[in-house]
Amino acid sequence: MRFLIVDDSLTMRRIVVNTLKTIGYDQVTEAADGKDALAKLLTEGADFVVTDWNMPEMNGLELAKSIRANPQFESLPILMVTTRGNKEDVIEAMKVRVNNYIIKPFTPQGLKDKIDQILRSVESKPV
Amino acid sequence: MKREELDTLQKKVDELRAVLLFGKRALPFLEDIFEFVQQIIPVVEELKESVDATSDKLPRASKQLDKVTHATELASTEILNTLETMFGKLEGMSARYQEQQARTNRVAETIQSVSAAVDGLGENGATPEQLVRLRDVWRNHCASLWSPEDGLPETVQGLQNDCTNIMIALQVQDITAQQIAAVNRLMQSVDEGLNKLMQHFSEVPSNGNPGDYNHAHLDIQFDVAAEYVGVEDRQKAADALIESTQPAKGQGQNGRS
Repeated sequence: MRFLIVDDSLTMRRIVVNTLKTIGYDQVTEAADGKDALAKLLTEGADFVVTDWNMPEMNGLELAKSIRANPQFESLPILMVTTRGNKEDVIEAMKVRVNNYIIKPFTPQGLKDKIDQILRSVESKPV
Repeated sequence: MKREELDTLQKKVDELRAVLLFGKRALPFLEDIFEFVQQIIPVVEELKESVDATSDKLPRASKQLDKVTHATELASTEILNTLETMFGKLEGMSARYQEQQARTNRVAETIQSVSAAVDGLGENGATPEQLVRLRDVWRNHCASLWSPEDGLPETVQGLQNDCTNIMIALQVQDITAQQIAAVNRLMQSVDEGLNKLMQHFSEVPSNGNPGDYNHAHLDIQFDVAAEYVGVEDRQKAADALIESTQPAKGQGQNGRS
């Protein structure tokens, strides 16, 4: 499974990449913001997007909207990883159809649970 | 009317004239003061607004910096605690390595003893003494190969978990970067307010063109509420919210708005 990690913080990208490796996922592409992520998604593709919310150029919410606007990526799993934990933020993220939401700082187990949860829901989705 | 009274009257009239003359000369000056006060009132009101805004923003900046301090202290403590645990485990591993080295040395000594015993055997067989010696050497050798359960796999797993915990704690960098960006935004806003105010008192803008300030540009989009603590509760609340927005099982995601 190919992951696309989107975060403007290099430290966070490294943490997510290393965490994914510890839970068994080592095919990872990185992007520093939403625009960069969209470009890489179109050129390199991905099976799963893990994105931050607050980023310059294009934030995670706008990225999710753009991904969902493209029929090719309508059902691409998106996990939002962010510091934003208010009720309004979660609702806003769900409105743009991110699949799940995890608040920083997260644990490897927390990240794994969310990924597994998303993959299960995607697999059980009727065609 | 007496002469003295007339003189007094004359004196009072002169004083009255002097007062009227002074009033006539002072009137334009008083009008200038009145005009100045009228002009200064909006500036003073703006000054009041700026001071009010500043007195609101600076405590917020102070609270944000306090959050940075708290977050870094918490993360540093977590990292130090983990490192102390790691040091303990590494010391244990080092002691076990030394034991292993000693065991290896004993094996080498045994091999030499066995070799000497085997070399001492005669061509036509061994004497009972030689056989007893060989048996003893072999028993010692077997004993030296035995090692107690050293728990190495568990220790290595523990060290890997410790490394993971350090990695989790390092997420504090992203959180404090956002908190500091929020402080920076507050300080910029206070500075811009003060600069605008200063332009009322000086014809030359203090910092170049109005609105053109020499701030460091931090290209960080921030969450003003970013925190390193209390994540579990917020995650539980988020999970409950997500659960409530999920379509009923079997309906897939198409039902989402």
